[in-house]
Amino acid sequence: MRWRDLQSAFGEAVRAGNLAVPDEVVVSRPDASRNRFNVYRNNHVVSLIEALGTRFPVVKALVGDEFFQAMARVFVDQSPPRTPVIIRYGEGFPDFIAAFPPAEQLPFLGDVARLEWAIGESYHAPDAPVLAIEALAKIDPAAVGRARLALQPSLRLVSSEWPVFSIWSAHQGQDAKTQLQDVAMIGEVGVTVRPQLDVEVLRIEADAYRFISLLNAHETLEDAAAALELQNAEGFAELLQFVFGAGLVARIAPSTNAADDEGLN
Amino acid sequence: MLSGDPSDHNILPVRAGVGLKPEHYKAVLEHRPDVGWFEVHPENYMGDGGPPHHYLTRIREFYPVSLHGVGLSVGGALPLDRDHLDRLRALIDRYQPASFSEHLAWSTHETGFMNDLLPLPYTNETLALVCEHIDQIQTHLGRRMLLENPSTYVEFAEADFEETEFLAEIARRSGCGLLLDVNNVFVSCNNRGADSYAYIDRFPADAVAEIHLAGHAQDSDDHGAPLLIDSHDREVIDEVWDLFAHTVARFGAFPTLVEWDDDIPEWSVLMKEAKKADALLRTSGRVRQFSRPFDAVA
Repeated sequence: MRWRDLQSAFGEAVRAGNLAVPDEVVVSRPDASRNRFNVYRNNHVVSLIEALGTRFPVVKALVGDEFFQAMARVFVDQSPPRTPVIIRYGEGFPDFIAAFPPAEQLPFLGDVARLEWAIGESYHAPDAPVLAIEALAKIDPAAVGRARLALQPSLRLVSSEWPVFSIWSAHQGQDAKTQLQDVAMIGEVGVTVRPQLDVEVLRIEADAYRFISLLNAHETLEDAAAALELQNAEGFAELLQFVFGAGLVARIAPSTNAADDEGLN
Repeated sequence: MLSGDPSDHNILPVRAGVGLKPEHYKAVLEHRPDVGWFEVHPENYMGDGGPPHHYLTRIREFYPVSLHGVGLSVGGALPLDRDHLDRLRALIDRYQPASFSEHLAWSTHETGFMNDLLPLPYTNETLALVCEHIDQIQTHLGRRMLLENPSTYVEFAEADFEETEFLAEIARRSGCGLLLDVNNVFVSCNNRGADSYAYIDRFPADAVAEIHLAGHAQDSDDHGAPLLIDSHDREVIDEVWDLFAHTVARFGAFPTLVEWDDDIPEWSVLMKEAKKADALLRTSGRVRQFSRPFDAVA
């Protein structure tokens, strides 16, 4: 048998425990069993379940080890990794969980997974400097409104009909500021971001979330302010203080030329 | 004192090195333990930024680093993954590692990446395939690579070569070096009912460039026959230390890695294993180069 075909048969038998081990596979130790092929079956699935458990620790804590392993095993069977970069494996896991019937009793589980995926994305995202709000003072005051802020490449926005930030927070070990039984079942929004070395998970107010979404969509400051329909200028100043204070801004994007800006208005 | 000049970190010193784990980043930077070098899996550094690169960059300032890949699928029938080769090249350009190694195994096939090091038959067909892959890798990365002997649990009915002959032929044809994993020798030989000392004695001495040591689990199969699993989650056992001593006596001292990839212990446990390896390397009487004093910071 050509190696390519034998390799396919070997790989399929590793993946599917009910497929027979290819005849070409032998054990030379006279007292050994051919079932030691199961070491490969076990390594394959266990290593990937472990990778998912590392990436989604709060999901794992919420459902328990046994349930997590069973759920992750189904996902691994359906969506094996396509590349050797396992730190990127599991992007489809949140959607899978949301549609996984046995997890129906925890309707927030898929969104908790989304938050955990976002945390991992922030962790591995490119580094960028943190810009202080004083930088705004250096721009021509007449041009500030047309400025665009480039946010941290590690920024991820997370919005849920469930209190995913509070649920996540309740699982942060001894430092947990929230207890799970105290979490109100209301929707929450927030961001994950890594301004310095550690990822920060920030539940924020709806206004701030909208503002950050607008900036993230490359709206100018004045367009973002207009879209927010704030009652007063102090509200806008507070939002600006917040996004700079939380280290979300990497730089002020080079302003596009005036003609473009005119055209947009 | 440890040198902060990366320029003398371009070859692995003939000393014990340790597999670098995120759990130990801070301890390593703070205490600069007296180990010769560190090895990492490049696949864990294929994110864009963040703590992995932050710490590896700093640790690289003080220690030589070796990249030990687990994802190229050198023994697979499919063409090599060009994107993965590009990612490896970028890491090599960034970190200037003293060594790059991979495995005589496969991990990718039509259905995707298996996340394990799977075995291949040792035939004329696979010999040509592996040599072609190594040639492409060495060309793409612009350097010589090392190839590691695998841990195996089964064999193939068709075989044109013994594993040691196969590795010798690969090294001869492709010019690659060999990474002799003494624990893998012990695991595979016991699983096959073969003599691990005889394996070492047949191993092509000229091509050896690095040695690996690790712990393994002792299990049994459903016929009750002993089954050793290459688990990298515990101390190296005495029999493997003895086999290592035999290896050093036969081939001389080489840069020797203590691997530990699961159930990561306190740093002091790894340090103890590294000191044990260093002591055996020193007694070989054939140490070629020690880049640092042994009695520096513990």
